[in-house]
Amino acid sequence: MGVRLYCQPDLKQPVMICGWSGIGRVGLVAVNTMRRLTEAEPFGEIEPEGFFEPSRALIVNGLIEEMRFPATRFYAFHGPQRDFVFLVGEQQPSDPNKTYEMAEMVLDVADMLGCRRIYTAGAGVTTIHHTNKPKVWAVPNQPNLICEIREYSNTILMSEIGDRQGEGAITGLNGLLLGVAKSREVEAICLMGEVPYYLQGAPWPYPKASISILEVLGEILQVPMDLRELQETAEKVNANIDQVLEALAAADELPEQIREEMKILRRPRRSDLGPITEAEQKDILEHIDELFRNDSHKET
Amino acid sequence: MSSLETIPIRRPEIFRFTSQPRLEKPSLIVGWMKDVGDVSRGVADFLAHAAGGRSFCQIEPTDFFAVGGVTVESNIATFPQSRFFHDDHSKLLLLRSDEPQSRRYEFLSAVLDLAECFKVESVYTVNGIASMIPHTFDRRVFGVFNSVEVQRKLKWHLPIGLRWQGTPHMSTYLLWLAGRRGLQAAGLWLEVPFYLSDRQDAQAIRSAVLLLSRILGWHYETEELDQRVKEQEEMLANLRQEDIEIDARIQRLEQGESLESHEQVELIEAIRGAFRRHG
Repeated sequence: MGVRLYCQPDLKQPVMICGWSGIGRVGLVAVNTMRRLTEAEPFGEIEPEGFFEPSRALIVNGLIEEMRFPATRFYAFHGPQRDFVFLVGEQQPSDPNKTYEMAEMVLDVADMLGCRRIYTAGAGVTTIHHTNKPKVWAVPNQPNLICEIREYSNTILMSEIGDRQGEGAITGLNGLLLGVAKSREVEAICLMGEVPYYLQGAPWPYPKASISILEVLGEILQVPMDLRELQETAEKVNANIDQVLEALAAADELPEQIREEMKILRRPRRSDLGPITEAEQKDILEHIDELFRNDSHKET
Repeated sequence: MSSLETIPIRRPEIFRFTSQPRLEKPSLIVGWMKDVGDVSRGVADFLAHAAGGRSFCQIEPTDFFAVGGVTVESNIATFPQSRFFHDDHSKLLLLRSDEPQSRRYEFLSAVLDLAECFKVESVYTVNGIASMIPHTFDRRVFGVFNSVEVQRKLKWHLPIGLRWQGTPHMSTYLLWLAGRRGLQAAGLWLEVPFYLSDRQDAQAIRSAVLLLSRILGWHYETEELDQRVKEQEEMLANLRQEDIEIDARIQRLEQGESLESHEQVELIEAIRGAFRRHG
């Protein structure tokens, strides 16, 4: 279990950008899209065996041809202004100790390549409506980065979200990497695209949030990106969400209180949906999750 | 000759030794406790008994199993076990184990660490695979190999290769990890009539033992296995006489016909009920 490098890229003060699979696959889609659009080349991977169970074996005429694991791969890109390292992780370890171990390995690679700035990308679950443009929540690991973040477009700090007073938690590698980077005195910022709370269990990605993250990254790192393809996907996903909400609202067995809440969700265009009690939120999530499960069964 | 006195183990705290045998280039056979037709356990039990029935080492369960209590099966409290046995005459190192519930990679790596310490030459796993054959047919054996070399070496014994795409079985994962270390490994997959999947198929177990004996040059007495096969055949023949539905469906299998899903389920239930009635 370690890092396997295919080659050692020669990079000038690179910035590292990391995305793992998580809610709405927001971070994974964002970083993988940036990696794809920049045509970054793979140069290494974290050996998966100790972190993940094999997801698929291929045995042909008795011979084990392939043992497939979720990949955690490094890519490098020589930009006109600066160089970049992308880390694309198809899955996060489920064991917290393994998560920490993986974060250490990522920082080892960052150290080796001379990365002094790391970005992670993920999702921030909130009461935004899916027809609104998601904002990007930014959490730095050092106080001196706050001024810089205030200059980012469409980006807010934790202190600007509701009555959080700058407090919160980031679960998984997106958060842990910030902590491990901090202990090594490496600057890191986590960028989280807003995802509607009622979609956090949806089986499909939420590209609108990924687009918001990419717009921020493109601006601050001066990497122009053509996001039309991702925008088309986002429109399709939104149309799908509308259909699901219509079907849910038409369901006979829906409690009246939830039906009212669904009306609000289908009558959007406000970024603030107003107060929702925890019980209401739980009920809506349960019903929506149920519907998504039925929907995904139909697809398969 | 290899022994643990001379070779370090990476994580010695995982193992609890009661003795340290000396073995000369043994083969490692791995048998799991729960399996289609109980083939894996049946073979492991036979070999452990032939090896004297005393294990020399076990893997501590705490890292790999839930040990907050016990499960009760057939009125008996069970507890996960992973025990190693050896048989000097047969150059055999045997692992008879429950499948780990967590940290499978670490568990299998520990097994292979021990195998390397004993300079194991080859690794074999044995499993059952449910098939649409009747119990009156010979059990075919499908091979899985971790390299072309071992496939070539065993082609006379295991001419039919398994085809599979999906979540890997623990045995396949072990073979693959062994391959990463340059250890030759093969898996034997014995056909088990689907209606015997949830009980011990004595014929599949005997076929596996005989095949392993041919591959590894063993000379085991198999009278006890032969007797169990005979008893199983008699029991199933009696069931066919008692129940014309069971007989008709098995006859169709013997004629190469397949059964509808509901017919398969009904046959399984009928056989299960009949075995229960006959103890």
